[in-house]
Amino acid sequence: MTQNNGHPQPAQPAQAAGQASDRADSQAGSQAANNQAANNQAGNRAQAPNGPKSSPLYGILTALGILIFAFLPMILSTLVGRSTPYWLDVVNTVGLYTILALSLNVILGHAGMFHMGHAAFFAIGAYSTAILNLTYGWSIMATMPVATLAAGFVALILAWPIIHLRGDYLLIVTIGIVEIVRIALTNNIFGLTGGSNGLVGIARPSLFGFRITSPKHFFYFIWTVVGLTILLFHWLENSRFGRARKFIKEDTVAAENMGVNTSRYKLMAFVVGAAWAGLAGTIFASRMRTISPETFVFSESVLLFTIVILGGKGSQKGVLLGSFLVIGLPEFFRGFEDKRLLVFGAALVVMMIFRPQGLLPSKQAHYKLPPGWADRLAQLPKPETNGPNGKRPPNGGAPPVAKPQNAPPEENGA
Amino acid sequence: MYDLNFFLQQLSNGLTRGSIYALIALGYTMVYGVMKLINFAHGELFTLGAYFGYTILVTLGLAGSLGPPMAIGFSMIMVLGLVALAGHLLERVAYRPLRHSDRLAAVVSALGASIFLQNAIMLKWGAQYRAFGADLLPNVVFHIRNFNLPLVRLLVFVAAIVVMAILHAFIHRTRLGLAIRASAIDQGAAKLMGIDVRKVIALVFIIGPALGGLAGLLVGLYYGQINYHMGQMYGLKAFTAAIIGGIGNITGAMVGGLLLGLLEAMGEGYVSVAWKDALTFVVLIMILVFRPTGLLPERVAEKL
Amino acid sequence: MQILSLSSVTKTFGGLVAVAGVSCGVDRGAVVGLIGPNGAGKTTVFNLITGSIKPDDGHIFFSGHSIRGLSPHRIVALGIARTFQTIRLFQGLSVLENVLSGCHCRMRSGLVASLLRLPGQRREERLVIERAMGELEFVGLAGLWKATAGSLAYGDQRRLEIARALATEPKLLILDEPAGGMNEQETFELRELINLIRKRDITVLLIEHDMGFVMSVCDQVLVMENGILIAQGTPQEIQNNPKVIEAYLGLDDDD
Repeated sequence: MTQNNGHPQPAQPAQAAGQASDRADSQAGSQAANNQAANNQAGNRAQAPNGPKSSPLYGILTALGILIFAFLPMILSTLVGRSTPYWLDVVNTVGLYTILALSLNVILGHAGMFHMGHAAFFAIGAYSTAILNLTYGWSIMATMPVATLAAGFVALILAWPIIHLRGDYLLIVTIGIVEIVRIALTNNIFGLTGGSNGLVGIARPSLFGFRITSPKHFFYFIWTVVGLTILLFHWLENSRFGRARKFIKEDTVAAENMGVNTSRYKLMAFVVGAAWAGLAGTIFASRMRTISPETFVFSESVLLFTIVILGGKGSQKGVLLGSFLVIGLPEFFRGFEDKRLLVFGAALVVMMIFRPQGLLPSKQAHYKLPPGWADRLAQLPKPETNGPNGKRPPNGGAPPVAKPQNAPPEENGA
Repeated sequence: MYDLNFFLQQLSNGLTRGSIYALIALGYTMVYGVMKLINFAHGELFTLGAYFGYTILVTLGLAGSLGPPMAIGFSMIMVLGLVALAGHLLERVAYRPLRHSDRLAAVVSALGASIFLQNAIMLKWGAQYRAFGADLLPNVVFHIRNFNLPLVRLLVFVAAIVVMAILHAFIHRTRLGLAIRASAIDQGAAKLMGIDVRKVIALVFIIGPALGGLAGLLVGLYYGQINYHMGQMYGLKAFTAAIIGGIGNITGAMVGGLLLGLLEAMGEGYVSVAWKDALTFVVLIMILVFRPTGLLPERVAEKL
Repeated sequence: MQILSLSSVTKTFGGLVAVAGVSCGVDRGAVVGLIGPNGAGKTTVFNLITGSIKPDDGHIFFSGHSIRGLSPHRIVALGIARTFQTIRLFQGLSVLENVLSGCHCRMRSGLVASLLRLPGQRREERLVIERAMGELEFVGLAGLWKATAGSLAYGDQRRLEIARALATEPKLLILDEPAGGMNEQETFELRELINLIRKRDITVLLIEHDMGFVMSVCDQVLVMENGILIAQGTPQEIQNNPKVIEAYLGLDDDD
């Protein structure tokens, strides 16, 4: 992706500030609700039993992060003055890649499916928007659901036959898919895609009558979507759906034998990830106003793959960090632009040797027990775990753990 | 227009291309057979071979000073050796430390190595296309009835076939070859039989890349131009060929390569040029979905 | 009443006949043992019942429905749960989460409900955790709910597998060598546990090599050798059956 936005107009402070606070509020609002669940301690058990880590530190950091993002354009203009639009652009690109990487994370990180074809779904989303907008005059925001669905639908068709493939084979097939999509786009399939020159003159999105044009506008737009993505996927991960994928990743055979429809969940993970990439494609198309097959090459998939792996697959924080490192960092070392891939390649190798779980690996899921259990557990005699391998000392050395209760437990309906 | 001539043209084209794919595919298949790992960096080793050839023949001007036949022969040997070395280094740096880690780590490392190499090649030799080979070989064309066979095409094909024949003999007639085959079937059992699997792995990472590098040189000679990016497309196609023949199956890689070359040439000639690459990928996906063991009959029973 | 019945079930691998025309039935509410020398085809029979592999011939009926050819997860939903001979827990996940995997098939929250964390989904999560903890309490592992499954003692891991299987609300529980590697104390506790499971109106079918265990806990015993069912009956009958004795001890001129 290129950095040039082509829009040098200065931001209008007053209006933008008004918008900023609106967006910050909505963003802060959703984050605050999340924090409340997070900081839930002994009191409000009516909350969902699963929640993010409930340490106060986490809440403070999140609040701080929100504040920084709410006022980032102002902060930047004091730091870099005239080149604020440029740096906002960089941050926007990071944001867009974050959305993409988070969607890939659903497939690669959570479900553990090797996937190098993500750029293809991004492309489908972008092209759907472009075609609908240019040929049929749809407004950008109206195209967003279509682009999302289109990408998801194509993913469904493509993934169905290949979902059973083993890791490295799946990888190769996904590479093949992204190449086929690119070739189809270049060859002007159905006469709609404008061939290798792509499509030009895509409109800007407008939300409730407000046209999103400048980097500052896009900043709030994109990063709100980032926040939304993080929230939704976080909820998804800590649910029946997310657990199913964890089981599949740990031991697919065991999961199947525990009643998890493994094919269906793998497929769903794939489709959800792909659909979200399509959504990102809409944003991209309306931001760049021009798209061509060159943008959606295999190396883009590689970049996304790198972000997820480096950051720590499965972990949203890791992906965010990875995105900043992979996309943002090279901006600070402008001279090394062309050596970027060199560093990434080496980084991947080094990471795998020394820290394969990524920079910020995902932690164990955190569960809260329903009320009453704390007391029940306290009454049981302390059980013993014997070291990492768990072999009992020979012949009755350890006292037995609590005998099974004599009355069968209540059969709580599910 | 679609007459015998045309057909023979596509046939010879396909065979030559196929032989090149076969050479590259052998690298994939040998490594996969022993390590159960797809060496993603193999395409880049192929590219390296082409650029080494370029350096020797053009940059160092050997083509001029030694005269084409000697120069080409010399460069072939040099390329074989240099890329073999590169392959060996690659194995030591990117794969050996991960021998005991899980598969994903090895795959990612392979990917990283591939990215690194591709970019390194681009930085060293520039992003533009480099031409060589076109004027190196005498522009002789054999005329058989109405059929034109350029000398280059014949030479490339012959060179590839000869090398593959040597490899085949090596694999099936020597003890080392036997060790490789044994390790490919069952590493554990091979170890128990006293085979030093690490040496086998090292060997496979010398032979495979060497063949790939040679293929790169041949491509430079045949097509006349090379680019830092070519490893990706060729790599994918050669991998398809390896899959067609049954990955891990050495004879299969040779057959698969030739088959793919023919398929591509026929597709190009009789269907359309623009979609020929897509056709290859579709074939790949079809095979992986419906017959992942390859088109050749299964040799080893599936372990349940 | 038979909850499970096999009729002429056959399975061949390559040239090897693993299961040859096995016909038998498991009564509802019983505890049935499947024994036989190694390689007799016992685990294959289990795999056939649970759907991991498909029979070449014959039929399998569960509560009157044919389950032949169904995929494993469907069979679990119908009410058959299993444990594995080589423990197949989700080693990296917590004890609670392992049991939650069993609850999965009895839950209904789908993609959208999870994505948006709808109230119904939240309620279901609470209920399910409640149930999972109940199963853990039943097998005596409730205190370890937070521990990583892989860190548990061997005997506890086996019990966790049982808790996980119970969480699927099965009508038939299939245990593949549940006493494997257990000492006397643990075997005793396992026997108690199986009796409690029986009290929950769950039928139990198990493979075991520990003869004492089998004889003391099973109502019915099936004996296999070389893929054939050679005897079935009460533990008493089996112990005195000449064919069974021959299968285990072998005749002098046998190989």
